[in-house]
Amino acid sequence: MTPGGGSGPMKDCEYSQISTHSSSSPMESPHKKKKSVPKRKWEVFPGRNKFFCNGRIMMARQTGVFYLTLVLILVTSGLFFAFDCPYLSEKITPAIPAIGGILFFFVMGTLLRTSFSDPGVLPRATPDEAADLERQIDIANGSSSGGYRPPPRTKEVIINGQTVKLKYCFTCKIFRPPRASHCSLCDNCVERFDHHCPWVGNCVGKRNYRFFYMFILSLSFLTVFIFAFVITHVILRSQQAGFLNALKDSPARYPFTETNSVVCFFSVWSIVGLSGFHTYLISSNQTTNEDIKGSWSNKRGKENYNPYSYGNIFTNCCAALCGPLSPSLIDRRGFIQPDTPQLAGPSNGITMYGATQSQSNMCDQDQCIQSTKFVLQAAATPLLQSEPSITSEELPLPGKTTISGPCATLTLGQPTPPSSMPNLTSDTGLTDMIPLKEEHEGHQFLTPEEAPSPPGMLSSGSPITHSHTMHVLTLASQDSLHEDSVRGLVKLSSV
Amino acid sequence: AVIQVHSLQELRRSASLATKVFVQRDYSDGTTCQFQTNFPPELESRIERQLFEETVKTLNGFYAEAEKIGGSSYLEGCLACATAYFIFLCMETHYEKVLKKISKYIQEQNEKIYAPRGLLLTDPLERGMRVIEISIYEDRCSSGSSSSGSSSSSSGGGGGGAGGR
Repeated sequence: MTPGGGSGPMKDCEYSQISTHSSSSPMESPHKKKKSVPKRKWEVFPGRNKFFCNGRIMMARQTGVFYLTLVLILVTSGLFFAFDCPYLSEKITPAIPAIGGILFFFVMGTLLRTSFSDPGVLPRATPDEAADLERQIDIANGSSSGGYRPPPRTKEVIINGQTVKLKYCFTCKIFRPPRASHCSLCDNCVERFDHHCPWVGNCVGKRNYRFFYMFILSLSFLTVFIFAFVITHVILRSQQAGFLNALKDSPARYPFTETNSVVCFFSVWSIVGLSGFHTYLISSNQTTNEDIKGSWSNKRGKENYNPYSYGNIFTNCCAALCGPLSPSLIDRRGFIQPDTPQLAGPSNGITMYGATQSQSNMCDQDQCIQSTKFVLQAAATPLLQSEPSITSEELPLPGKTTISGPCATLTLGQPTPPSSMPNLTSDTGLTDMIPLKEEHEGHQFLTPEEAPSPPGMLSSGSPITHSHTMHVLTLASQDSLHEDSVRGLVKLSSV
Repeated sequence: AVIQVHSLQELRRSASLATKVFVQRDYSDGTTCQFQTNFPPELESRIERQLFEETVKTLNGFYAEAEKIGGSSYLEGCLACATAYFIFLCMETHYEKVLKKISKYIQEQNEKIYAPRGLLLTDPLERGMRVIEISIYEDRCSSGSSSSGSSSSSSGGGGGGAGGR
């Protein structure tokens, strides 16, 4: 037998074939099911997202406002086409409904693209990666970190002459790439995170920013178009018969015309304002997140400039809108390989660092909750339990959302751009939410899947009836996390 | 070629995984996808430095090509916009085409260069484009070969286990 280490004729001795049936599948259940149906990755996706059409469509968890958006657009356009177009196409030109139709088609297409596509979610680190990173951080920190608070986990990188700090995400266990941010509503790190838009029911990030922009741009054109022609319609009729008569003329249409105008009037200002704002952002190659935080503003220092900007407006616009579209990294419809466990449960083997309040741009409260839980977990009993038959550990989902609280502030009447909810205000939104939930749900205050991001499969929610060991891991971890969070509850409530 | 494929599959199934090395992203150029070309010390005894660097540089070249902003990408972008992005339902984007090339390249590299040395490259796409994961396999023939000895000393041992510290 030749000692290894070289190339050459080693194929016969090194990689002797062994039977693959039992060895590579400690995961497969002995005899719980006759045939285990392979699961698709979206079914065990750890973020708080909803999937439809077998993983083809991906949205945030709260989609109520998205349906409102759809209804508003459909109803307004429908009324326009039904009541104003016949008159206008006769009187003026049939091009009006044609153009309106094209605009409407474009608006719907881009809206659905924005809402249904993956905004650029970064998949969470595999256990090996996470362990490797932890090790490197330890080496970097040395053993000099005394006390409860080691220095925050950041890496510095120089991009185009500007120093950029990469932050470590406790939930996803990765160092976030530049411009990425963790969305606390969806519990995912998103690349080039712009903001989380409840109107669209999804985060807006690298992969769907251009769709979002085209949506608001075309929607501004559509609302202006409809508004203008509704007014034209009324004017034309009133020229014929006097204003009040014009309205009386079509008694059934009177409230519709009024509604249409009112809706359009408010929409015009807010949507057009928003489009203008995003046009500015695109031309300076910034995200809403960066703009709000003033990351690249001159106020921070004379040396501060945006390292991502290409220098001129035209290139920035082209890059944002016509640049290459990167693929989805989360492979929603792929099948789970039995020998590669997707994600570990909470990383109990890794030492828990205390809350690093300074480093995260998540809600501080969430971070605190999370890291307290980690501390508890680290002290908790081992995760793996031998009893795999944990059924109905399905933690009760809150069902209909309680986000209606903060959403109430985003009514149409507010013409402030941006009217969609940037990440920062989502922090306040969350802090509003939690007391709301407390009222509604009593003792369920901090079920692990309410408070964002305990790592692992908690938020998948779907009843996991498989007994793959992988799922045993996750169920077991759900279970003990639940216990831990209850313990955490007790501790937190005493704070 | 058949024999080589065999060894790759057998590598995956039967050799035991000693450790994994992660080549991280290089962000000095911004958000474009580039990987660091530093040579990880764990691979010192397993593969020649030049071969490894060559692989990473070629991969970086592929990613740069995929993300290139130029005439053809503008054309694709404008066309897509004009069709309200419905064209993405039937057409494959330039990026996706390059990704296919990359995956072929990685497989070819694995078969020709890495598997015979007991290493395996994982496509960065499967790791969220964050790392190039290189799995180092133990030699089965030699008991406690030097390579696995040195690589296991640098990390906590078995890959994939929780509590690997």
